[in-house]
Amino acid sequence: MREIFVFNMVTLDGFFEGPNHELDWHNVDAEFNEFAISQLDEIGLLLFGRVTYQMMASYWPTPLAIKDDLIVAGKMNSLPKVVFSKSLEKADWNNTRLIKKDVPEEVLKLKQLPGKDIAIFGSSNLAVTLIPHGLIDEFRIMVNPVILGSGTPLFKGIRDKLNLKLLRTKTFKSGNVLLYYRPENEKENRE
Amino acid sequence: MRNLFLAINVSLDGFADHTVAIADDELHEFYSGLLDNTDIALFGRVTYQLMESYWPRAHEDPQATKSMLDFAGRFNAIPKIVFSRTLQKAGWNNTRLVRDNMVEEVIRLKQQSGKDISIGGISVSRELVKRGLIDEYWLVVQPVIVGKGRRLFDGLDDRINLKLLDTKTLKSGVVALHYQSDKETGRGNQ
Repeated sequence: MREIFVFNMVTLDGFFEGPNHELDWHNVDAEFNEFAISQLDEIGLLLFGRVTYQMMASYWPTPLAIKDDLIVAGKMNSLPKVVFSKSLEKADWNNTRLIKKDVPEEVLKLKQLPGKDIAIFGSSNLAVTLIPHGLIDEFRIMVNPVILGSGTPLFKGIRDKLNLKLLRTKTFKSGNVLLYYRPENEKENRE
Repeated sequence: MRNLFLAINVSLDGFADHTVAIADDELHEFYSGLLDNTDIALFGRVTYQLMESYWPRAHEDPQATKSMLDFAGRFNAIPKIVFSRTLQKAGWNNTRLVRDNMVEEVIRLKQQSGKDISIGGISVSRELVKRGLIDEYWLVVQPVIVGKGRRLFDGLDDRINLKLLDTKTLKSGVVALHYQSDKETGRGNQ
């Protein structure tokens, strides 16, 4: 079965967005871009919740994105994508399928299909839905060197504590630190 | 001007919950090591009471390891200040209780000559972060998502940019991230 990893940018005080959904604190540079490209090369499918989907769908197909980030835009636009949403009517971004219900069941089916690994970028609510079902295999959390002071906490709404096992860390010249974790097995989490 | 540093356990999702910390020997050694170049430790009431309830008598605990006893020895000996309006007295060895004007007291301490100053506690740190008085941060990231509790720094008005100095990974999966206030773009020393 292929794996699902979650990749998220987070501030050092644990927020993934500011109080008005700000993401302008994302600390990105050429090294980040190289990392983003190699991470995209690992995956065969992207999963999104509605909010992240709409944000990305309104950026990556534009001439601006293609001019600024040719390689990443090309990959984001061509990769197979699924957006989970009850309210969206259609999903127009190239190579995107809209799934309206039975999220955990549908995700399990997608994991069982052959292919490269699956990634969730952002989409905190989707991750929170999938975590209790044991469907997330890896967390990649990039801590940016900024204190935001307020905003939305990473994985807001998660009900049970989730213990993690650190796999490795990667430090970027920009001061970002990428932390790779695997969830501890279910039994330990149910304690 | 002396360096004031905050060292605090935090969950991956940004909650300052000491009960989820993996308090093994290596973590105690890590915190003990932070006192190598420190000659005064500041606390808020909650953190002070938590520490004062155990460390002065750690030597009576048959479960206490050598690392814990070393930690106890260092924290029992170092000069301490607890900031609280409600505490009646501070009975832990070498501790002074300061009731008012915390910010002024901290500025005064920073201007004295001496080694580094450490601080522990969420509310007091938040106030000092706001004033730009914290020079260095050790965020000790515990490998857990907790989903609830007290946020590390909630309700700050301005964002604060930091510079990563180094990181230290413990065998337990704890990652300590070491930052300095960014004097160029952030809010550094006053």
